[in-house]
Amino acid sequence: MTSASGSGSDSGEGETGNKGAAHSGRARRPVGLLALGSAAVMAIYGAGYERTKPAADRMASEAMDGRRSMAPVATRSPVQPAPKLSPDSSAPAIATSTAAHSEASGALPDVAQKASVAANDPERSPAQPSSNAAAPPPATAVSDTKASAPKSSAATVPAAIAPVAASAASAKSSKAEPAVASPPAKKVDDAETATAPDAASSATVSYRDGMYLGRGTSRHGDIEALVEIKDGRIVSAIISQCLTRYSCSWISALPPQVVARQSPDVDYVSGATQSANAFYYAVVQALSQAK
Amino acid sequence: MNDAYVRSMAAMGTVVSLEIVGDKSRREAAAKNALEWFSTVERVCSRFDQNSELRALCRISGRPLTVSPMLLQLLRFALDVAHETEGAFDPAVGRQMEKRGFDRHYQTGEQVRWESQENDTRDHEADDNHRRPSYRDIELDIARHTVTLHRPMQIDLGAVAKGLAVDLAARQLSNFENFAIDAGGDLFLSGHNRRDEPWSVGIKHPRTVSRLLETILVTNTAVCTSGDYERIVGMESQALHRQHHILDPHTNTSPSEVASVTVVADSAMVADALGTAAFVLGPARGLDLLTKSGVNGCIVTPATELFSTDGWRALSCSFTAIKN
Repeated sequence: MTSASGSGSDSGEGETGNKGAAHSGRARRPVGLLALGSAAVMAIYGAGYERTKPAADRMASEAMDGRRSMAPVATRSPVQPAPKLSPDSSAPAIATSTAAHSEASGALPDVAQKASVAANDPERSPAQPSSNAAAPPPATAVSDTKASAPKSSAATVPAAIAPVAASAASAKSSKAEPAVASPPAKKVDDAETATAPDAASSATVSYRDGMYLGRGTSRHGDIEALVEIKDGRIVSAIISQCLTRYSCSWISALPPQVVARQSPDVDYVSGATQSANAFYYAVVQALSQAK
Repeated sequence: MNDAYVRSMAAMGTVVSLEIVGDKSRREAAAKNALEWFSTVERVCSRFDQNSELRALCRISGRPLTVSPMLLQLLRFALDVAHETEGAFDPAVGRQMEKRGFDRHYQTGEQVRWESQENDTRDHEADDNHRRPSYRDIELDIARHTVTLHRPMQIDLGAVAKGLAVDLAARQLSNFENFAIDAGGDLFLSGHNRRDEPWSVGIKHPRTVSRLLETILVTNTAVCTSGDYERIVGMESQALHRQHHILDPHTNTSPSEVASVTVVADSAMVADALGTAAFVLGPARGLDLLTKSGVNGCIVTPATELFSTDGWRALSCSFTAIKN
């Protein structure tokens, strides 16, 4: 399976990516339909479900009200105080990040199991990523490799995530699913209320000074991030190596966010979810060495 | 006789099943993943699901909305076909389909109705008489991933979505040599069957139940058949003019010159779209379209006359000329 989706999307996406840029969406030559159709299929296959899903969510939110602020920061924050998370707000929040970062699906339950000593029923936590879904074949294919990357960071990811994951896991997966698709207005509120204390407390986290490298994996390639810590604070974060098939200019806005937020919790990037996730993992891994 | 693994599910108003011949390693997981594409495509593209992305898109008109890569690419292809066929194939017919009774979710039976989120007080019925929304009112911006509907409309991707799911499933199984995917009229066949022979596909007789018009032998290709005997509205199947699931966007009725179209092509999505367009265009122009698109096909009229492309005979293993 892995090899199928890997090789398939490799050839497919490259081709259609180029085509997409050049082609304006109109067939002039009759014989083109077969080629256009095949290109479309490969583009969709290559994009996989991970990219499809967040875009769909965002569209729903745009439809509702202008622009969505995308930063479910709270759920992944290293210093999230657990009590802040009422079950109501935490469930949708984690659902969002799981769906969007579905390549993390392998890792999240992992974190939950490691971090929460008591709470987790191993049978339930796999159920949680299953909301992400009905899932995209490619997701399954990548999650193996994906899971290994953030694993080292899993230990460093805070206990705070455990209750979140646990509560989400115990929520019916069918419940988590609509939550993802629901209008963002409420979620944004949740995120904001939860973020405020988070931002304050994250400033208090002290990293060890130095330069740290981390690497994140996506099925479009790896991203290496270099994070510099000075006086216990993140003073710079850069993409030191961009080995993705696509230009890292797509996610060039993300490194400054790491500094601004003092956290790896960067925004999602439409059309570059995979790369954005890879960057996130890279920063998480780098910071894990700075603790 | 090789061992085969078969797995089925209900999706898209039909039963989807796939068969993997030989190669026992990991084929169960592969089959599961392949079938999941059907749910994925359905969730994005179904006109019958109020929560689908397609429905969400169609609630808003007049401004660009960002859509998923799947919806964008599928719409783009649908528009390509629409342009190519000058609207004989038109994804903007969702409203018309609804009005004709194709408006229920196949699983829940729940009725879906197009509704616009705008306070659009225009009389859509009257609007219909002037100018129905067409594919020309759909604007894509590929670079920005946006779709703008310049008129309120319900898009129907029924003629391409199932084919897309078949193609995606086939790609998912691409490291297996021998398999078949059957999604009610849309097939994809790879390698050979359990008896190490090419896959044989029977083409239904459009009027006589349980009788095959002919059988073709194919491999590594998709085969899609659209018939006027599928999904007939109401009980009037004996009526002189059948109202079925294919609509001529220009006349707003079901085409009557054709009883079924079968298309053989590398892609099920392309085969399905071209078959639908050929159905609307009629035997002569339909055959032209198939030929110039570089696919093989066979168009059957209600009088069971056969019109087929030059390459069709080579596929046919039991050509049964039916004279009326």
